[in-house]
Amino acid sequence: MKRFKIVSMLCLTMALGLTGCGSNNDGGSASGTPSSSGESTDKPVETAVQEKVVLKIPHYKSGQNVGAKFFLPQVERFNTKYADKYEIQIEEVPNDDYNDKIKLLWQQKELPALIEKGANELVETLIEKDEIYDLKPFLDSKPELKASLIEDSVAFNTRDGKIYTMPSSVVRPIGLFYNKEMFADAGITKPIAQMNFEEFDQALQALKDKGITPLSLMTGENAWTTMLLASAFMANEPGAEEVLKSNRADKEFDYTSQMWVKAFGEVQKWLKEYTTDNALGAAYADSANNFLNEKTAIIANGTWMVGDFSDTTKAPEGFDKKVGVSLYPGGIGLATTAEYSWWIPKGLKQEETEAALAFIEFIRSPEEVEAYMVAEGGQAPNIQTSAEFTSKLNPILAEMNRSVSSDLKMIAQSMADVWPDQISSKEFSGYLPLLAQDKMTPEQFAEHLTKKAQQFKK
Amino acid sequence: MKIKWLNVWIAAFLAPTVLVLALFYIVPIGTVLVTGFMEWDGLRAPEFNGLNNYIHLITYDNTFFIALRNILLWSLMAATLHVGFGTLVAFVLYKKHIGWRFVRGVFMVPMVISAAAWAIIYKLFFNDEIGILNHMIRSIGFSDFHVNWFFDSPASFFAITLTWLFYAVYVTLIVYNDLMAIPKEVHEAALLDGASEWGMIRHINLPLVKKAIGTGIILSVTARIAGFEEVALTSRGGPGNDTYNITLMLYDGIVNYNYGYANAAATIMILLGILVLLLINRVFKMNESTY
Repeated sequence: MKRFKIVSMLCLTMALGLTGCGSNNDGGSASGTPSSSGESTDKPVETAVQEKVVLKIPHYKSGQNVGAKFFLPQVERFNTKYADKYEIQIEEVPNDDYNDKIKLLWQQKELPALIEKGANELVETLIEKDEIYDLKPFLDSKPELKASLIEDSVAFNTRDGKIYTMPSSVVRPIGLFYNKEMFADAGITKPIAQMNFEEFDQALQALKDKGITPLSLMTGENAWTTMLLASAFMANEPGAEEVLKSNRADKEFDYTSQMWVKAFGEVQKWLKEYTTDNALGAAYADSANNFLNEKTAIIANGTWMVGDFSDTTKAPEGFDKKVGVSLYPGGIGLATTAEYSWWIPKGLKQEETEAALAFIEFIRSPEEVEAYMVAEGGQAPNIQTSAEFTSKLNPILAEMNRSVSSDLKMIAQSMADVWPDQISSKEFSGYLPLLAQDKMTPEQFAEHLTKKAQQFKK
Repeated sequence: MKIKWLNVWIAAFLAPTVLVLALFYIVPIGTVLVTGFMEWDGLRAPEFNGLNNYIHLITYDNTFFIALRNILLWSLMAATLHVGFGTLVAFVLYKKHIGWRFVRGVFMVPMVISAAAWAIIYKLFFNDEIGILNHMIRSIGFSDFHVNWFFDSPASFFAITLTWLFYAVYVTLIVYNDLMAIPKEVHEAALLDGASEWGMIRHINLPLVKKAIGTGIILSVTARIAGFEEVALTSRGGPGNDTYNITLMLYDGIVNYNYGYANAAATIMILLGILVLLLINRVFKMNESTY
């Protein structure tokens, strides 16, 4: 019996040891220090100051993400410039998981030193809790940088005199792309931005009469291309300017007014008459594919799509020469200045904060902003671009800039910017098939969205 | 005194298992149950709000009842057609006709494909433009046939159903295992008594695999209650609410930073699961001995 007890005791010790393995805490996550690999957090501060500061940042503009093409080389340029002082290392995170990752890291008190936006709810909670580093003293000490920022964006990012997230210096109005050959075939000569939506409707009909499917629409995912066109239509309606104004921060929860219902009615018509058979349930890739392969004449999208037109894995050779770009009918451009951007959590070591600030300053320098606009489009109203800027631009981006300069009547937010998440991510696209199939009237559609928007209203 | 020591040792050996069980199952389930009665956005501390989450979930609009109706219909099909098909395959395999090993292998293949990948495969299969199904229908003479299976109402409900209806591998495995466990003597005795093939299936095999079928029903129905990928990655509950279920209500709660609401939905799912368990236990007399 005694031997049995000894053996049993040994077994029990081993078993408890095994279950205890996971609790050997070496993470030190309770310290609340954001993650950084510049040095071990156990090292004395005085030695850490001597070393190069390395910031590991999870970010979605990596891997196959469309933004990685510009962002990753930009990080490399920063690392080269500050080779002896700072280094940014990017950890790849899928776009859809980024907000959740940031939230999780915050809950673990392991926030990285730099975060680009993240979920609005999290940013607002952290502003409320005063857990975000105030950028105002930094910006006050950099008058040139401060002067380059867009006023509306500064106003949006300022609370109680503090600037919590970096205001933007570039505005990129979203418009639409069209196939110039198809337009010529249909005899459409008037620039789209100078049309009103009645004339635009006639242009769609003219394309259809020529056997051309006019619009690349979609109801899958967040119904992005459909939503953009609907937003532009609504922006032309009386009263919409107030609802969709570009610096509006609060959300809209009631869609039963005439302007919304009319916009939904127009969407219904477009889906029934002017789009492809596969629009119901189509994802963005399907919608883009239809335009890139010349199955449709128009797609609503941002200038970041420009690179796809000359990518022969996505479009036929020479397709980029056929593409025109324009603001929406009525001279509407879609953009928002009411959004959060880069921010730094409070509680970092001094040198980490300095590294993070250096990165923000770097990416907002005139040279980097110009490089960004050359790559992805946009306009920086408070930055003097170089003499070669226009010549460096892709012809389509240059055309968009001309359209903005000559035809812009209003910058409005898209519907997705003023809707709560539940509507933009699920309800709008989920119910579009019923609208397209006449199983719902535009009024019922509006009532349904209103009811759903109010379900989770805080 | 001896017995007391034995109890201590039993307790000591069980402790690690109980600890792990508590840590990974009981505590999370307890958290779900408790926070179902709280207002909690995951960012601030939860606050008790009584039955508000449940009242909101059930009465806000007709979504809950549509989700419940869908689950009941799917559960009914799971308990009958799905389990029936899985059982039929097990009985066919049990006869060991020519090629039975090949059939068994092929039937098991979906087991190595994740539910998410399976959903994407079906999304392509049912695609109007490039999907095999519509292509076949059009090729046999219905040239104008166009149905966006996951996005047309009511086609979506049936398309979702078809993503799992004939994927009854677990049922087949469980039933097949019980069939193999039937002693040869039972069949030999029945043959000596002049039993027919059908008579043996009806009076010997089916009664002896009854519990396996019951287990199959429990697994299949609870999978319908907790089903997520096949809906979320295809129709996303649409068009409208046509293919909505309670798991999507839970998901919507999380997306909207309303964890109390999400956990109330989770609690309802747990209760439905327990109800199914009790019901099948009773109907199939799972606690009684087979032989």
